[in-house]
Amino acid sequence: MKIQHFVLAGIAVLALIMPVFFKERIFLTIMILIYFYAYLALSWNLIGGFGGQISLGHGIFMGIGSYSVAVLFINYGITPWIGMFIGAILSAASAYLIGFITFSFKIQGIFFVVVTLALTQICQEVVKQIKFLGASEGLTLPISMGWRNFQFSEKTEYYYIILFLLIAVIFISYYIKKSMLGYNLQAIRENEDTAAASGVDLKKNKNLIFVLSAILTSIGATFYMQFTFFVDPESTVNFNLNIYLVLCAVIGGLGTIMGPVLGATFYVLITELLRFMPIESQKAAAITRIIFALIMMYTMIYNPKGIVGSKIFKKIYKKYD
Amino acid sequence: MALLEVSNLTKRFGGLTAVSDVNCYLDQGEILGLIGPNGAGKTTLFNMISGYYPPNSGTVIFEGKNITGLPPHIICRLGIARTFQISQPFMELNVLENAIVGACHYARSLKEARKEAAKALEIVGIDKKSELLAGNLSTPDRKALEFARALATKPKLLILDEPAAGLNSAEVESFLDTVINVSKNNKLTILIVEHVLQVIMRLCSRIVVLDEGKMIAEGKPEDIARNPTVITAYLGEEYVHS
Amino acid sequence: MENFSSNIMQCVITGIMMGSVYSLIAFGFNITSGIVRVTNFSHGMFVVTGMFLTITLCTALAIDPYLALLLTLPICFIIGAVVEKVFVHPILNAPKINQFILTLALKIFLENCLLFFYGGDFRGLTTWYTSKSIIFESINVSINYSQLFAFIATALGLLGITYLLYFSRLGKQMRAVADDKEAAALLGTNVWSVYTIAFGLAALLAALSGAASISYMVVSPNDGNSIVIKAFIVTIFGGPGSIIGTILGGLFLGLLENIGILIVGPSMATAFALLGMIIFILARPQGLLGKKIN
Repeated sequence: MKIQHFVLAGIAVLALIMPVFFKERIFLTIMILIYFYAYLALSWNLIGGFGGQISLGHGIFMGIGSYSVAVLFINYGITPWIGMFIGAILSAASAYLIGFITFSFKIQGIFFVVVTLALTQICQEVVKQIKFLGASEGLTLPISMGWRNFQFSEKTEYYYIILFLLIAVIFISYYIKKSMLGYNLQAIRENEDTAAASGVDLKKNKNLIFVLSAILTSIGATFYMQFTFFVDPESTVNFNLNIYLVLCAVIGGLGTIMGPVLGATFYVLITELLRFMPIESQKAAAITRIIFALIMMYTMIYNPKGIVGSKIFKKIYKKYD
Repeated sequence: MALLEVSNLTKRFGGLTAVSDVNCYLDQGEILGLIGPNGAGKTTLFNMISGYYPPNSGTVIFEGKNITGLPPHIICRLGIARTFQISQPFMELNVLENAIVGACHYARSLKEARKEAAKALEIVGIDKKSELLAGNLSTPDRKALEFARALATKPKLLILDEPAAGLNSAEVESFLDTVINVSKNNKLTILIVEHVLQVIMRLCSRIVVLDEGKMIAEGKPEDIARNPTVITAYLGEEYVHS
Repeated sequence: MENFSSNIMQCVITGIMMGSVYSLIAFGFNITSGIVRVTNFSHGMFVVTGMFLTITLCTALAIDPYLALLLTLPICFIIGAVVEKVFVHPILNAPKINQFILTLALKIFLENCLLFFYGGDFRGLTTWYTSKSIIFESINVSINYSQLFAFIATALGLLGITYLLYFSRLGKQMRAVADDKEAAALLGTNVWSVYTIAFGLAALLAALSGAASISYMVVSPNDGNSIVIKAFIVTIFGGPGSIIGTILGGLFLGLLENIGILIVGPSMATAFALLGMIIFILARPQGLLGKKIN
């Protein structure tokens, strides 16, 4: 255990001092993207991995997290920090409502995926109709730098914020895993009947983790909005990003903590790498995803526990034990 | 007042009546046996008691409270625990963690849950195996784990679903000793569904016999063994477990 | 008032025509979920692939999509069969969640293959009947030729596959495997072959649906999600495991969508149908005619 702690601490220190030494925009941007995807993948992993419910509804929470901030800032000048808080509360309420209805009606497995997918689709359509939310064109933040407005001209501040968020979600995941909630969730994942017979309240536990996942996703969406200054229904309130988060979490190891982080790192690195290749960017993106789809299929067939569960990984892990 | 009172319990699946107007009761501290040929409705009956199926009609009263149709986890919290015939432990968790899950519903902290779980493991006798993954256990150990996990929920009534299935006679003996100990020391009331006569005869103070969804006999083990209706229902078959 | 009733008439007629296409798509989807017991999230991509293949063939060979079926049907059948053998077969015994994630990955794979070759823009195919319609002036209803042909083609497809399932030896085997694969195996059925053929058939039916609808619709590789969602909706409306249910469910979806266009406008029509699906899932998960899910 001790050596692993040192390694983790070392990585954390490296991450903290990186911006001091590597000031190139491109480098910081890639790191920010890695941390962001890892953060989102871990947030999704709470319900998808720990809870065992594949949600394709996280686009809804991304939308809430982005749009509430944008609307409050553009129209009322309210600082995004408060907007973020409000977005998180709205996302929590939505998740609670969705969870309450679906878990009460024993909507399991595939039905849960389909219902969350359908809800995301409906929300996207609805947003496109609402002028107040910018309809199809979306909303763009007016530039107004500074901490109060959560806008920075340099990447450095963004880097530290998302790094902080990532570390926070790692700690939260770890804490949950080792708590009674974590045990309950694992029991639910393994065998719902036995869990119920042991006194585990299926609905309450699933809903709790779903709400938590929604809150974190919403906060992440706020960050991304502040980073890109833009939100629109097509790119934010859709399930495609959600699907790639599933990809990251699964390839890395669904339900583990390191898994989604590794998966996201892998995903972002290869995506960015292919950007440097002399291929047209759309084709490059398609190739990246084909590769990832193949890896994902390979993972499901031969290595369902993901990178974290693979023999090679376990060997490396054991060496340092 | 009986600890558990089942009145006029009926369950239909489509056109098939699995359980028909069954009445029975359990007193505190009893070990009641529920027997009957295959398909008699034993499993359906206690799936209704433990909350897995809502009955079509009838009531289940536990400690004076009407628990008919309540969900399984609430029934567990009210004090009824059950095991599964085909043991379904949490495969990826180890033995101790399996029992911890049982303790979570009342424990105020993980530490307390762990303590209670360890106690349950000790009572059943598998505390030495607490670090083993449940998926790697042998059949008798898995059954013991089922038992321990049910005990960890601090039940007042324990329903055992064919606990001796798949055990050889030595394992059955050791299981019987454990059950008798547990029932005495923890003042547990037990309802046991079984085919293995050795278990029923040794353990039970009273037996209820089901056939085709109806209760056909009830009484002391010796009387039941001589009851012509019961023998006819079984067609004189003998259940041999090696 | 007259306008209103003819509008409803138009809705119903268009709804039935498009509904038939949906029924066929859902039928293929149900073949894989019923016989192979795999919920194939990439089924929408089978349809899209059929559409793009049709576009390519028709543009290159200057033929009609229905003529091109001579090529598209066998090619897509093979694609479906290969997909089953290579990707689905290994995970048949895995937990459902893994199977589902695999089909998700399969969808991403097929989608991006198409994106690589065709780009993300919407493509269509114009035929001599694309814009032609029969107009019944007296009742103010117009029937578009493409949609009419699509209706006929998919209806024939539905009849054909139903015939296959009930009156052919292969069909009986497939139904036996759907019911109880161990029993079917004991009676001499090669279950693995049945699985492969089932996937091939699903892809074939998807291709037929695609080829039939490409003359009046545009498609992009990103449409896979919305199409498979339609298959889900139909299955939920009609109930799993029921052929008549699937057909009725498809017609119901067609009607619901077109009524939705009338009431809330074309962009919200999908949302309208989705809402209908959610209500069904909550209130009647076994659909109109399905067997009750315990």
